[in-house]
Amino acid sequence: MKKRSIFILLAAAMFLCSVMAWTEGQAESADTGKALPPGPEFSSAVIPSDSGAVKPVNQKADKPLRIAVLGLENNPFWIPVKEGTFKAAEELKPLNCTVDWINAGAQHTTDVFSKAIEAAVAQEYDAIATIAGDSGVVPYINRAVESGIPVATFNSETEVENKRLFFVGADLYKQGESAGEAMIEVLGGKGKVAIITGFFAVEAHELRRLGFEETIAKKAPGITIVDRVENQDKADIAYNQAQDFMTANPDLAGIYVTAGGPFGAAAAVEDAGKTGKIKMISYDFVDETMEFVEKGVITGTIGQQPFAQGHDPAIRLFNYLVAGEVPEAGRLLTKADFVTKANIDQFWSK
Amino acid sequence: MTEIKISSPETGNDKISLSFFRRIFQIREIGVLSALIVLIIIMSFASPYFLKMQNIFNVIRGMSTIGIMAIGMTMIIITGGIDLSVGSLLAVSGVFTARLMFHGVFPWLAVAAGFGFGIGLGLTNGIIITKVRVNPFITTLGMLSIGRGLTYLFATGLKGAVASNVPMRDPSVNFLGAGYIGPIPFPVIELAILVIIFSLFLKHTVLGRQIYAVGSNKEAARLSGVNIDRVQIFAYTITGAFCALSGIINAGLLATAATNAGTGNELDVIAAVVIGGASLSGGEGSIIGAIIGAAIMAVLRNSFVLLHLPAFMQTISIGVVIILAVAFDNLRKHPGKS
Repeated sequence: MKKRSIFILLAAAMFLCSVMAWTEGQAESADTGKALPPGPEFSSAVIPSDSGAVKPVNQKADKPLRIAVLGLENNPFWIPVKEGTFKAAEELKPLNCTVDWINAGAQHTTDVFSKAIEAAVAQEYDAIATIAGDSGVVPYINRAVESGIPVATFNSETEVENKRLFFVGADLYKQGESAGEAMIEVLGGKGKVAIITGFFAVEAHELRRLGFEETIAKKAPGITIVDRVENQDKADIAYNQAQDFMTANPDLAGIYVTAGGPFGAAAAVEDAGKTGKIKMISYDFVDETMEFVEKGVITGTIGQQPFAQGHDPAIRLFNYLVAGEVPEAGRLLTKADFVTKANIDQFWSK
Repeated sequence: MTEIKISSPETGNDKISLSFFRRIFQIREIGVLSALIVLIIIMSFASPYFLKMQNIFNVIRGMSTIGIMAIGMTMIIITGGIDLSVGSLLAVSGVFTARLMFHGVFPWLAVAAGFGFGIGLGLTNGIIITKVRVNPFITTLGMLSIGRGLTYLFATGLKGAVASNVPMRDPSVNFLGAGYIGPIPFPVIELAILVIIFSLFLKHTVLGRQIYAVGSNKEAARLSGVNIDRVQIFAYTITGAFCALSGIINAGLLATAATNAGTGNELDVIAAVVIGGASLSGGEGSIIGAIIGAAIMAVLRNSFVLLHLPAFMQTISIGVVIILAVAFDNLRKHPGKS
């Protein structure tokens, strides 16, 4: 009996809380109805000419504004992203706006980012920029927007449509296409290529793999894909796999690494004395990768303007809040810079 | 049914040949060893590259860190324990060593410190399990998390305030992971030496026999004067040392201590030990068996790349091997029972 009454009490308390939260949310959104313009069409896409260097409008905010950028710090990829956010904070400070970089947690999964978004809403930020690594965050993004807080996404985007204002990041399938085109060019359209992907279960890695494979199938029938394996983003596994590929295919011409740990595969190629004979294409500008680009072991690595991903969302959110400036498209794509030994100086220094 | 026939009395020559067969069948490692041999025979027909010396060494080098950790895990599992933290201890020892070197600590001193760190965390596992009486599964599950967290901590601040892989550039230390003696990768030699030493240790030393005694019957071991806490602490501590060595081998090979090194390795190591005939309830197992177990998984992984088979089939096949190995082992131990 006692148990049941406690249960009923708890249920009643929970119901009351949720009703209160709901009415509060309603009141708030009505309150901040400063008639902000609607956002751009969700899937429209453009590579902005000012990507990475977008300027804030020259107009001070009436009341102090706070923008939260929810990021990650679990690997060196995020260093320039964080630098981008810090730069935005510096630029917006004189305009009466603070930007906070918040390390959301260990990885880009729903459990981490749902909590981070909810916490940012609870802290009454005026706008939120977040990584949207997985479709589970969609309801959280939508709830934040419905309560009157505009949300931008960066780095990764959910397949499912949501109410975010805009996205800043790479089109992963197009990155895969560029990698495919680069591979076709360096191989002269023929030869055997092996693929090392991070996880078959990660959408982002699959888009890069499919973009690559479909481009090659379409444009270079002379290139055969000998195999696809997953290295779980780990360099030591990539090392073993690259060794096995070279053993199984003495005439292997190329290795394509879609995600983490390309330097493991590069070390195997170097140790086998096949530097330059096997063409390697990978992603991003982390130090280990760049050292192998400099040595000519990795033929080229494709970037995605990480600085812009940390910088642009905060600035564009500010411009939207203060001047009602709507970005030119829903998907603001970053440039896929192709870095080789020839142009590495522009992108990396030791 | 066949097993029952074998054990029933027979006459003359039949009896001799059958009991011979039965004896072979009862050698602990025979099941996995024949599985490995069959696999190798099939592969040598299926791929012209498989039996090449270089490929064989690649395979053994590829399994060396799993194999070295499996030596320690075998001892732990024989005592009736388990260690889920081996992958994290591998990573934290490697990153700790590399980080010290990065700050200019004399390389071999950094290696010693890395070993000290791995041993310290292994010792911590052992003490918590025996003195605080926390279940080994829980203790080492906690240590898995603590070790990974410490890895990120030691990897933070090289460049900006985020975790990054730590370069490790001393050629003499890296020889542990990347070196060759003639055509033989140095990690293969390290693995072989450790397997020989610790197999002899388990068979012929007092402490080695005590490890089995603790696992078969703790109470009996205690009553006959075995310090069971000390035996268990020894097993976890030495495993910490093996993890540290594996971490340095791993970092040496790539000249970089990666923060995600060793993730999921605990499953491979436990699988190797179990495929090799160890019983999770303790008292049984052998290092040679565990190495054969690790070799079966390594050959399978190699085969799938050599034969261009889809990767998901590799994952399935390893699962099938784990279950088959234990099923076979049960048949051996309890013939006729289903």
